[in-house]
Amino acid sequence: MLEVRNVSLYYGGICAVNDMSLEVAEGEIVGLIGTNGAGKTSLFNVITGFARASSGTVRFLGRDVTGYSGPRIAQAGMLRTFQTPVGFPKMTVMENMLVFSRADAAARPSIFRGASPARAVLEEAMEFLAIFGLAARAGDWVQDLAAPELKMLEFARAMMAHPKMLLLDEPAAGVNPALQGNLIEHIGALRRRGVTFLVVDHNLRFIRDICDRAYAMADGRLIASGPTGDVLNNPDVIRLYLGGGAGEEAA
Amino acid sequence: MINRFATISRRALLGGATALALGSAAPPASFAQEGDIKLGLLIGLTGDMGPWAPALNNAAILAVEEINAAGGILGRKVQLVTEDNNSAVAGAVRGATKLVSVDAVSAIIGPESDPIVALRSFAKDNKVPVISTSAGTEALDKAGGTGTYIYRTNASDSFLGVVHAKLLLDEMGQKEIALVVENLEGTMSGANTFRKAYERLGGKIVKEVVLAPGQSSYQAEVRAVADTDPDMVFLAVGQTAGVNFVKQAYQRGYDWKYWVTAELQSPDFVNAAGVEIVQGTINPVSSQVENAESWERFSAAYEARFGEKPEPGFYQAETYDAFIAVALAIEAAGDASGEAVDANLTKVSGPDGKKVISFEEGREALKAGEDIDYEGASGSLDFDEFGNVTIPATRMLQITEDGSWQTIKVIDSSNFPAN
Amino acid sequence: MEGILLFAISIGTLAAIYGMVTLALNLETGTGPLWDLGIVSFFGIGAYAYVILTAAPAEGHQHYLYGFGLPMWLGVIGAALAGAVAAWFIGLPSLRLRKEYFLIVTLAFAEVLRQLYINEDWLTNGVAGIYGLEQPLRGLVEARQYTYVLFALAICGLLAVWALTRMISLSAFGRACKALRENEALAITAGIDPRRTSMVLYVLAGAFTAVAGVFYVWYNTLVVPGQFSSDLTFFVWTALIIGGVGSSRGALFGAFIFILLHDSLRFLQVSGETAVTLTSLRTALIGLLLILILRFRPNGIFPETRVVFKLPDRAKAAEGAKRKGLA
Repeated sequence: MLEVRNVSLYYGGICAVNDMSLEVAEGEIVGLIGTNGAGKTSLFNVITGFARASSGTVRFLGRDVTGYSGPRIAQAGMLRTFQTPVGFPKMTVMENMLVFSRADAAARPSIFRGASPARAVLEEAMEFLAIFGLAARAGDWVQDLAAPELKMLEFARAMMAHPKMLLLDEPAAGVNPALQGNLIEHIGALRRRGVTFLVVDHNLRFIRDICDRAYAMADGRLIASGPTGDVLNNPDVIRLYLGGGAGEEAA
Repeated sequence: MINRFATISRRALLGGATALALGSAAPPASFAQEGDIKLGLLIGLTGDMGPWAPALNNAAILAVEEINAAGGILGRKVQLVTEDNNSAVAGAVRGATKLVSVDAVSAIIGPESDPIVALRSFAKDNKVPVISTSAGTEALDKAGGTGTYIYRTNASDSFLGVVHAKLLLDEMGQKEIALVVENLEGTMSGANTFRKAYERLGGKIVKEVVLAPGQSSYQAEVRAVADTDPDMVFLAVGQTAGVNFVKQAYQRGYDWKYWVTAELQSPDFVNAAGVEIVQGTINPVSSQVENAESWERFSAAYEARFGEKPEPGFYQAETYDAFIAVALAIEAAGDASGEAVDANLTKVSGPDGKKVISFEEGREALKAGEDIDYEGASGSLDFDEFGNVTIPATRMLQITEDGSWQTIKVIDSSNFPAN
Repeated sequence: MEGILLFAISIGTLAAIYGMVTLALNLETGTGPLWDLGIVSFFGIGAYAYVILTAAPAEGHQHYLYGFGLPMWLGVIGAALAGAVAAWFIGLPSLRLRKEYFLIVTLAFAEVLRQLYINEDWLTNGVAGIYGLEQPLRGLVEARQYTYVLFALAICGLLAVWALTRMISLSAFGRACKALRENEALAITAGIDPRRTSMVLYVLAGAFTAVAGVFYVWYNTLVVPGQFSSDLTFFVWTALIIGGVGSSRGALFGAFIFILLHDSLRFLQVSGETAVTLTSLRTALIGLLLILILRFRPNGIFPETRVVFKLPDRAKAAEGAKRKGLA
């Protein structure tokens, strides 16, 4: 589904991503680990059109999407989340949902349509909100939500777009262990609905719990890949994380 | 054609401060009684004209106080209503609407060029005369007069253009000149009318250079003027640009004689540029003929009331005259309506009839059944068919060795063509 | 009494015109992400475009080459188009910039345009301006009553701009603009193209403001470059901030209250002698009032409110989710 080939990214003279390749097949949940500054988010940015690769190609659903703009990649069905989920603070939870809906995307070219969304769209949004425990807050401003609710809203919102693939940037960051279990369940449920995942996280336990395979990065390059267990037991990876002193609980 | 953006003269500021002090110290006047006659003064108290406005307001106060001291118009007390027009068109429309709708004034006096142009149809629609005392704009050259409700008591830029041209050609024998103009409304208008008149009367403009406002260097412009090697340069520019230009020309070794417009006629210009640079510079100002009784009388009264002399070029006399003329028009008609003022304004101002120089004198003559000709502090104040006046005399001022502006000659300009 | 009403109507007309601009600014800045410090650009473009299209040919002492003498309705359409095209031109380079730079560039463009009005004598008659312009429906009523007609027209214009900006800001497009305002990166992941969306928004605001410029011409019966200085931009911004950024009610209220504040103080005057003092106090008084408003209502008098939808039943939604095996 997603195929990254020999991607490099330079910011001025600094190399953020160095000749990275990775693949994600349909229905997989793939992890991408590495310490701070390893280049994970930079790679995310290249894949999702937020940064332009200095070299290399990105293919999505068999199409070469290298150099596509962010909105175009999103329209192609690849959605990403951000490390700090803030949403659209001064819009209601429901508006946040609608912005991601296909109905809105279709109505946007006309500047007048979509003022009162179709019943079906509102119902669908409400269902997703119910799933993520946010139904009661549909009419509230997002800036009034608590941090865990914001996290849940990330998923609920993403569902509205019916993405084929979700790129999660540190979904477990700042989430307490109880809620982490919740998150894992939700990701599992989404996968059953046919969503493919690429997940960046520091939290190795979380990665182990959800990912089929994993890639490990250091200094912008790939240092290990394979089934999650193997990667996490790779001596280079262990050294990297122990050196950082963070271990499995790194968050 | 006073340049609104010119550096404010120190005296103007002092005048403003005095007016403020007097204004706040004065006891609150009683509210209008039924039967009071109201006259409106609509000027730019805020905005670009702000620095000049207090002087005009003073002149209006003086006129109204004199009228009331003489027993009012038609035996009714006169009340001055001063309104701000923000020195802008929209402000003028609002201010005028307030003066007419709320205060029901008999006339609106004072609006500057843009404001009065904007009030042309307003004046006619509401049957209220609008009389400018400082608008130089050519748009009024043929626009006013009895029946149009539009007048002005100051000379048009077109007339000043003729004055400049005639004096240069006839008095100075200057057949060629370089023209330097700053791109501002007042200065452009002044330069255009001058060019037209000068060329028509046989003069030749060897070079015309436009200065963009607000630049610190005019080296390129100085060079452009120098290319034609003129011996006299006509400066229609504001103070800041004027000082920069003459200094930079001097630094490059050019020893031109300057002929300047009213914008530069101030001690500040001399001080800022330096006497050695601008000595000999000439400026013609419109004035009442020398020792005219009406001017002396006004000047003395103004000084007694406000502790300073009225300034030539500040339009105080023009403003004062407008009030007195309106008062006399009402007196002549026996009616304080705008229509009555419009119908009688030209009549009471002359040129036929008994010459009077104050409201009281005029009223007595009217009571005696005589026709009157109000002789203003600013000039003879004879409105022509277009509501314009000519200026009786022009005073040629020159900067002397000690840096002061001295009158070198007073020329009778009453027979100059109007434009 | 009728006099006071006439005066109120006259300033109401001006408030309605400013209201249109404030609504257009609210569309850009309140709904959308554009911090436009050059909204006066379109006001001026609209006014000049209208005048050039509809004015009579120049008289002897005037310098402009074109006065096409077209009917007024064509002038209005032309003005809206000119505003839209101008916005597009200014938007091309400036919408690539970050918010803060956009602010500076739009401010600079406004000044450049004012210089154009001043210097392009052949088109605009320069600093002298073009005057004696006609007003619509003039012949319908007696001259003194025309104030009411113009007021009615301005109110119709204001209502139209209000309805249109409101429809736009509530639409899916409007939501996209709000999303860009709130979080551009996240909006991109929703498939919203920041530059395209901003451009459409900017062009719309340009067209609305240009139409307001036509009303301004009707109100003043002339155009001069001095009318289109950045003072107007700041006036409108202040009105919007007092009223409440992001709320069309606030935008309207802000425009009216700000104008009324300016002019109601005219009634404080006691005599001609105190006028000078009072006028300088007036500015200070308005400043003080603004500070007080912002002290106690930092988000304006009518802050932005939540958009309310008729939401489906929660219990049913939960059930539906369960049925689909999602929860």
